[in-house]
Amino acid sequence: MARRKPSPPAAPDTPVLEWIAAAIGALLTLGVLGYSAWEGVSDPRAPPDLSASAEAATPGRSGFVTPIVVRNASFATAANVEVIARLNVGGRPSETRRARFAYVPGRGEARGGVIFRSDPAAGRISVEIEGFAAP
Amino acid sequence: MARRVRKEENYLRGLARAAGGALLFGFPLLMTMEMWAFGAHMGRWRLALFVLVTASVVYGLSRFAGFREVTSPLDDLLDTAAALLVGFVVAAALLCMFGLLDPETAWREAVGMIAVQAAPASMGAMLANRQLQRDRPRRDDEDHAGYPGQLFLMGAGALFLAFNVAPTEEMLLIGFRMSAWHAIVLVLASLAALHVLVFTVGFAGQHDSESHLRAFAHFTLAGYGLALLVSLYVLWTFGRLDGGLSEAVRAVVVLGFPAAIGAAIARLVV
Repeated sequence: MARRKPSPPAAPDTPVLEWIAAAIGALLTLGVLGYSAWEGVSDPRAPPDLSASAEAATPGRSGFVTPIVVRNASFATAANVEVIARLNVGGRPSETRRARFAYVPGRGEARGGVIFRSDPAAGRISVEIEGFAAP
Repeated sequence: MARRVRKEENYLRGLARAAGGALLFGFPLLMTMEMWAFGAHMGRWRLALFVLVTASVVYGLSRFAGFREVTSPLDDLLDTAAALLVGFVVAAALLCMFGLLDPETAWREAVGMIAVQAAPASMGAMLANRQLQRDRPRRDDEDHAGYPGQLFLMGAGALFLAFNVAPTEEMLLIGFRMSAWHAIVLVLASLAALHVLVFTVGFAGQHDSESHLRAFAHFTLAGYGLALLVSLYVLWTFGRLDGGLSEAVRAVVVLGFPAAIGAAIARLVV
């Protein structure tokens, strides 16, 4: 092959930009491949590992808007995640709210919120994950 | 006087052609449900930056595929403005016709909706004049544009195709369904498709004697890098990078596939 059609030596007048563009391309491609391979060998088949927590509430027009964050420690994505948030005031349950999250990506988080009528600062919020579906 | 009238008539004809191109390039997204919502919930800075990027790309396309035979930067600027105008008008008119915009729509939402949709329409408006005119010899600017021009064309092609599929929910879902190994295969497939297309379509400035390896480095690798960057930008614009690193990498790879094909065929379209 090389004998029939000798490839010319790299032209000395190749603009630097061509090498820069090629180097950036190679870097990005190898980065994506490397990350995916690392992900592939680390944890391929574990089910979603979800945890939910409530953040400080902000008073709004229809009550106290309480942000909920659902985190997923596994690489597997969960869909239709159902979260139930209970507000306990003085040790007694006072309000229950539900929220649904379309997706909680693997190794990622999703944000949403629930709205309580009374101020959650006066009590304690417990947040639980009820279930999910595979995407 | 008669000559002047003819000149104006020609320009009007150009505008009509541009509207045709705007329709052709714009309608898939105008009929995509997810796109309607972005106008309302996209952050205003992202939207402003997006309009700016659109205008720059349309200007770049004008350098290589403008309305006129001979162009100066001022001509290109005028043509860019005209293409943007056509894009905005066509997007707004179609959104109204589909009953998606009416006098009750909030201003913020209406402005966002039209601005997002105007991007593909404006690119179409600019390209239409290149594609739909028959009586004019092909201007071969892109052949003389050199390597930066080629990179720009690849980026514009990647942006257009990526943008066309990025808003849909399916992009997210595909990323979630794929394992990391699927992603690796998709990266390799994107590179292969890009390389084969680049070689069969033949980029300007690519010499016959050039070795496969060099073409791979300068067009395929560089083009795929561009495709990944463009995907990253489009995903960021649509707020699809907020879920975590794994999701982001997967989404970039998924969107990188149409982007790579867009980069490779850009030269066919322009």
